[in-house]
Amino acid sequence: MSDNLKHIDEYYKKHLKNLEADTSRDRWRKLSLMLFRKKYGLWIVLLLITASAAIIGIMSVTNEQNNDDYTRPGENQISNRDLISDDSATGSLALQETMSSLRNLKKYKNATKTLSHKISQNKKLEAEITSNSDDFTTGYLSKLTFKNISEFKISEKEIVIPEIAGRPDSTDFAHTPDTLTGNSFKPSRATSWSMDIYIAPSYVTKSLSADPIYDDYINFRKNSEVPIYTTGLGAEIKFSINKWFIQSGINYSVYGDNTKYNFITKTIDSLNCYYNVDTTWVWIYDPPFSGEPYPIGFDSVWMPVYKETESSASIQNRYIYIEIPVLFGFHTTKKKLNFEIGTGISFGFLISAKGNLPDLTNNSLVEINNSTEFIRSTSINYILNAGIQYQINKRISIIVKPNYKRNLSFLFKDDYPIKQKYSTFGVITGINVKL
Amino acid sequence: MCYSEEQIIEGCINNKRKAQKTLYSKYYRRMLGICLRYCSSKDEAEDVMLDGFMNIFSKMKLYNKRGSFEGWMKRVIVNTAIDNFRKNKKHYYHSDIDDFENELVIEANLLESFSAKEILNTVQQLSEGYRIVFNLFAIEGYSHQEIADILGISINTSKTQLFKARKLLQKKLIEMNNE
Repeated sequence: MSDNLKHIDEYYKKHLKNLEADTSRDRWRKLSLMLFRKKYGLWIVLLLITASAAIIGIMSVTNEQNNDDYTRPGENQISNRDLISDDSATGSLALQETMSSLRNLKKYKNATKTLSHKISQNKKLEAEITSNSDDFTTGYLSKLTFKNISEFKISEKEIVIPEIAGRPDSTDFAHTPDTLTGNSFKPSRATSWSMDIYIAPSYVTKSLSADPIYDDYINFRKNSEVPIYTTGLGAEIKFSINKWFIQSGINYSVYGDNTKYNFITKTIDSLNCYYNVDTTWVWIYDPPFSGEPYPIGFDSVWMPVYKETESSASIQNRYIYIEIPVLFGFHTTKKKLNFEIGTGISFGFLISAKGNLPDLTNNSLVEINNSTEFIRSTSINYILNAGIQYQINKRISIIVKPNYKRNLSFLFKDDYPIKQKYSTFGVITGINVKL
Repeated sequence: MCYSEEQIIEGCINNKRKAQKTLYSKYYRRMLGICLRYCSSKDEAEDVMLDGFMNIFSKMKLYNKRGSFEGWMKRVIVNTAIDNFRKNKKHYYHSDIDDFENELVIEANLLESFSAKEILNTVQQLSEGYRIVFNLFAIEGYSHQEIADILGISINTSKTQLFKARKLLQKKLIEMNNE
């Protein structure tokens, strides 16, 4: 390869080595989004998985509930009575349909037992039941050819009970089973989804602790820092099963304190320093050990004077977190009021930290703005809520919940000697929307 | 607010968005300039640049603070461009050997009249294989041995690609000069 083209290299290097070019601002947005995905991608995926699992869970619960409802009489669905009457009349139901219906019958086994018990108290009815059932069961069960049909354990009485409804002068038991059983045909689990959207004015206080050698520092801070009032925001999804609920979502929480640090600095007051005229007389022998002694007086001793300079700094320390609470609780309803108590933990992610810490060695402040040198980027908190919901319409309730939250983890990292935790006392106020 | 380089690096290590944005704002023009040399279009170069910045942010902890930070960033960007090239390896060998039958010579003083954009265009018009070898050798200063190791090719292939790239570039410059 000839080297007579090397000047091409030099030419391009000269012009392109330090080439600069501009691009649109949305490139930073794209990069920012990529960084966000990288930072929170795992959380987002976990959140989606959790949400999907919750949705699947509630769908399965709802389906189960629907299946229960499916066999409820009077809802244009196959009821026990329909089965029997069709069977009696035509003597031919498809095998699959029969099985399905029998499964449903099994689900109502307990209810029908109670029903039959009530009926057994009426001899006249019982006699009628027995006579009707003989004909029916013979025809009905003879069509079942499953080897495991016995597992359904359907007694003649259980099957025959709805037949009573066929009596023209009888109560339509099948349509009004509650009247007979005294029990409701409610599904075994009452589930619901709802969402709390709220603001939470809070009083934020803190506790400080450290090794005893830092007592002076702790006392200085305690005397210089005061609690604050903040406002949190949040939205949480609540899933209720009967009287229990689990709740999770996201909220914005602010912790911090207002400070006024007074530093006293000692400096030499050069204007007021002086010589102390306190003459010290010394006898000098010159030459030594001979001659006449003569006195010499030293009358100037430098006396420094210190002055105290007071300086103060008013600082607002603020630590802002996005938190994901996970609560478990109990609630009970009385008319339009719903009382609830819940407890759990929240996982916090620091999104902003602004403030200063005092440095008493140098009588100065150490800036901690968004520094993760001292501050943990995550936190864990304990939460206790107790409150009331007032239902204003079918879907919306007003919520008022006193709330207590305390850091379980320290604000600062382990290698920082001061242990600091915040506690908040707030009132969650907002709305609950049924989903 | 003006941050020192140490503060920016520290902030980026701690995943602080403000520090990342400051770093990006300070260097993106130069980094895009590098990417443009390795890519055939601006869109592709911008994508490579963003990937490069992602690599810079994620590998920031590995920066040992001995050498120049900008130099380290440039190496990361070049490596990202090489990775991008590897992904498109199907375009690697593109022989225009017939174009090199006639030796053409261009006067050095004539070349000064071209703008950086025009010069860049000639590089971007090269096939990917020529372009990356030319960039690594002529502009970044890599040896053929290093290029061969990086790209997984033989030293002779690297030399050939460079030769062809130079020839093509010369030809394009002459054409531009004649227009």
